[in-house]
Amino acid sequence: MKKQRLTFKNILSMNGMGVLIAFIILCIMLSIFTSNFLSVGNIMVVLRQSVWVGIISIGMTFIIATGEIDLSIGSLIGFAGMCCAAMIQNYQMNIYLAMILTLVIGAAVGVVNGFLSARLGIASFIATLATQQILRGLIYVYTRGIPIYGLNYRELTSIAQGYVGFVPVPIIILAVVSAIFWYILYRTKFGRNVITIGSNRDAAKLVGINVETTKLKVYIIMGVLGAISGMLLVARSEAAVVEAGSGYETDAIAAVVIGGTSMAGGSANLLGCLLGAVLMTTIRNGLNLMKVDSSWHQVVIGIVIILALIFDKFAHRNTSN
Amino acid sequence: MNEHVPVIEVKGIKKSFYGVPVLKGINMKLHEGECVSLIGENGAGKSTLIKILCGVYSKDEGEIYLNGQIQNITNAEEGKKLGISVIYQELSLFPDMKVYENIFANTELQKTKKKGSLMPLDISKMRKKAREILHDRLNVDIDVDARIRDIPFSQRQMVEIGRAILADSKIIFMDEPTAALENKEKKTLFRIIKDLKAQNKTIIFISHHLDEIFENCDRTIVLRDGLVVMEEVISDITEKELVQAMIGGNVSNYYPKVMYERGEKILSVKHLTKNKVFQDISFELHKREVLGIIGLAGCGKYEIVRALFGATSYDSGEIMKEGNRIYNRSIRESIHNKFAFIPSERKTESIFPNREVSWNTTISFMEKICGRLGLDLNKEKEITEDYIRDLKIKVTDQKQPISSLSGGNQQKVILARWFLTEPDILILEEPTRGIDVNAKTEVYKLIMDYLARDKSVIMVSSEEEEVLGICDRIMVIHNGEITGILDAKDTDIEQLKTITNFGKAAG
Repeated sequence: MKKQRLTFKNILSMNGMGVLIAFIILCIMLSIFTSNFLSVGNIMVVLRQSVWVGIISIGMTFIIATGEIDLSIGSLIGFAGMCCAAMIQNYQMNIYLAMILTLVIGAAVGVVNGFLSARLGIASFIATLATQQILRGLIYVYTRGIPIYGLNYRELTSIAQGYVGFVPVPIIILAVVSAIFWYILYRTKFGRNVITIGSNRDAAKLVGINVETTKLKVYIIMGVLGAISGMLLVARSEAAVVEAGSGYETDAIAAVVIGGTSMAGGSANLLGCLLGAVLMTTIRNGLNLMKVDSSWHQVVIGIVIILALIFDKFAHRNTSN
Repeated sequence: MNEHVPVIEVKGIKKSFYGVPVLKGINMKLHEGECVSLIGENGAGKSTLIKILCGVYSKDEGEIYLNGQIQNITNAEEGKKLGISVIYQELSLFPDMKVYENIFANTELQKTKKKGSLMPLDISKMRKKAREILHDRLNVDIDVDARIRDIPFSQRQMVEIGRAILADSKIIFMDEPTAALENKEKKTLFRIIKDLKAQNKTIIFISHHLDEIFENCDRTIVLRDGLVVMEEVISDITEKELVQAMIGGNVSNYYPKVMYERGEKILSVKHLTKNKVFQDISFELHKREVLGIIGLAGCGKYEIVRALFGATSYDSGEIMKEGNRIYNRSIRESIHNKFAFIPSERKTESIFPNREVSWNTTISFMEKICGRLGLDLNKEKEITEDYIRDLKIKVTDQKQPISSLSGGNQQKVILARWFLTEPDILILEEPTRGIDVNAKTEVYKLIMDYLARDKSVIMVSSEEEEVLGICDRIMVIHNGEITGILDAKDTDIEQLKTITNFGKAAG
């Protein structure tokens, strides 16, 4: 074999390149067809709207890298948001304490998911489908369908609405979370183990990796990130609504997959998934700017996901075998 | 009987896997109404040949003639249509379905003239026909409405044969059909084979039991190293000639065995027992020594070393390493105790197929590449580079996925993975399975070099030559028990084969 060169074909076949190219084409088109897409204000809007899905898609990258899935994360966003809102509004708890407790609740949900799938060996697709139902159900049980309003406390809202200089706080949060988990995934033994388990579970056991514990930790990470995302959503809207976060699990899975991470496990592309999350928000934003009826948004997003995946498959055909 | 055109004739069949030739040009003829034994050692190419003839594998080169006509069998369905059936050791029946349903699986009879997957089934006709096949043609008494999981193995085999008869197969391969049968059941099977011959079927019979072959077969074809080395009428040859043809003359040429002076005792295992798997396993291991463990399939040899490594549990027994009691209840514990383990199933249990060579090398001991800021990728690169050079691993780039390497190079990466942890006791299961001859020799050399560093090796293998060629002492396991610990230099291959196969030395 020859030494690999940076030819056009090689660049095309790099992981997640499909999503980057789709993203660039989309940006060019949007800046031609709309007047204010490339304004600093609009870019900030897009980035800010990417944060919720962006944060959980980081956790979803870890989950999918191990070869598992988490369908409960959308419900957890709603559930964690509701818990936080209720502790503050209905029980007058200290806001910082409430936020910390919300993170603990997220972690606890992760423990349950991890216990069901890693310890008891229930297929994670089914186990997290069940917790998805339970969490969403609990929101209805507690709120009886009535949103918790009026959460305009500065300590809370600043995490979603505040600025440092001209940069919105949620974008800083996403950047910090991304950096931490990039380090964990690519520069620690734990991160390697996560991907290794997804590559070959039986072999991972035989090199001494504790598969159960590692998966459990991954679900805890997912739970904590879900809680952060849920609090950001509440802080943004100053309310906890019953359908908050609904469907976010599919957005996160889509972001991970179009970012170049294989659903089969054993690989992880963290930057790709963030790009995937931004891509999907950009599509929504662009469609809004072009004043396309919102009913069409989902159709367009579905088509873009398919195109990105077809591109990746096509580009990879030459390199894999 | 054989003056006509042969029912099947193969010419120059060749087949390689990953560049390793398994069949090197097979020529043979089979005639109507004869029973031919196909024999050969593990890896001689028997099962590959059968799979090519029935269409599971495709051949690289050569021709297959059925009744004088050239045929290209591309899948098993087609092979069956052309009249070739295989009764595998692992039967391919549906355990929850009834006997007649199994016989008619995918060839169900329908009530209507027009056939289609939504047309109603003719159950009574299928049951009647199934009964005809089993009772009249095979002369066995099996309830056609019984579920497969409720009937004994011997009867399941009959159902499988019934299936071949329904398909009107002219050629029936039987892959070690007697392996799981009692004496009485064997007699029934041989009676059926005789009946089938009378019905002009051709039977190819694979067995490791010489007496069965001499009593029931008309001819024998012996494979060795992918070639037919003997094709004789059975009454013209002796058992000894047959065995010699199978084993071949030259053994142990390429075993680079180095006789080190045996060091002090490093490990002693006492009464290690796992109920119903292995009992009362006691042995000692010394520095600079290779202990071989050998035994038939299912004797518990893998389970013993896996329990020793903490990959499975054991019920009782004592493990002492350098005078200290250790337990090895988990894999992490035994790695901590300086054990290493390379499993036999490289694909499913060793490699991380989509990950890089470097990743696969350092995974067992990432502490080695930990810098102050987490994993130090430059250090990983250096370590991997060193191993690639020292172990002569053929790669173009250490970042290429391990699955793109040949079997031998994959195995070297796995060796590097465990050399990195500097184990005192290296446990190997079938270390050279599925790798070519040159790579085998290199792997043996690496093992020998490792011993020189005051280390010890336990090697489980099902190849007698390999065990005899590499090990200092050989522990023979039969039905989960030690039948003997032999000194390799006082043992010859025939002795070892006898004791491995029959659990006792020839008297």
